Amino acid sequence: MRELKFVKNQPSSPNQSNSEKSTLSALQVPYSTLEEFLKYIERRAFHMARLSTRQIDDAHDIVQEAMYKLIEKYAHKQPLDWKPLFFTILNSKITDYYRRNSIKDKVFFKSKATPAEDDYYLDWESYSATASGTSGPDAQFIQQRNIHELSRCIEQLSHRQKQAFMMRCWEGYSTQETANLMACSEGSVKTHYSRAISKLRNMLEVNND
Amino acid sequence: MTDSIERTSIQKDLEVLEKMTKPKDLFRLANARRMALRQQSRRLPSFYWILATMSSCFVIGFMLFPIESVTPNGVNQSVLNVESQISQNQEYVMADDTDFYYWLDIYDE
Repeated sequence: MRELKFVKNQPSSPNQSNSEKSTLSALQVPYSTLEEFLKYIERRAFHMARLSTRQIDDAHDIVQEAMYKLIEKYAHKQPLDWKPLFFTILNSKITDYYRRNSIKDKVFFKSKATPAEDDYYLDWESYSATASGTSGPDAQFIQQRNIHELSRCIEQLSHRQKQAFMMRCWEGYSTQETANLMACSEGSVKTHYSRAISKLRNMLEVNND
Repeated sequence: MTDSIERTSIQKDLEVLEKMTKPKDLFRLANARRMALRQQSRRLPSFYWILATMSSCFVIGFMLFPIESVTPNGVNQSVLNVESQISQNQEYVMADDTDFYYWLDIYDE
């Protein structure tokens, strides 16, 4: 049976001194505890998983598994290491999801065209609640349409292209950091990223026309 | 449009997308975070449940209805076994009956 541990809502190590905390703040890390980190990262992780799987429930499962694994294995690490570790776990969980689905499709002869749950994720109520009050309805409409188109286009990228795009563009990692996260060479990351960007550009241009 | 401008615009859109997370999903994320922090055991994915159910059904099926061996000619092995038992029984019967006809031997002599 799995040993249950309770991780206290405290800094990662009891010896974390004030100087370490000041170092973290100097490096602009907006979290010092695991709970703060998970709060900080969960939305982005959810949307990354959602855009990768196109299934909201599966995205939630993947994020929860990644959180669970991070705390189980790497709670003792320094806060600066949490983010790359979390994204490595998240990426491997998404890859596992793709593998599992391909096996499932072969076993159950499932058709490739599975209905996406998140086709209408962006509704007007949630958008208008979060949109800034300064922009008018026209600007809001354009932004909402852009986000919708961007989401649809990201979903059409291949798995590796999505990973490269999300890590480089969304998370702002360098090519080397992304290569470490994706467990591949920097050249591969550059290739995947440039292909993803050019594909997105083409798709967005076609949709705008 | 240069790459940096394009990238900034995409980043901005993605940030808005993050902010637009629905309250229902935020609640589920908060629950997932809480469970992960407590390291509570998670439910198994439904795929494994389906696989486990199917395999156990197969095992039970094989136990209840075992597959009978069939000879290469398509003749059922159990039928052959019954036939061989019948022929053996007939031989026993014939051997028993020979005692009854002992007097025939007398006349032959």
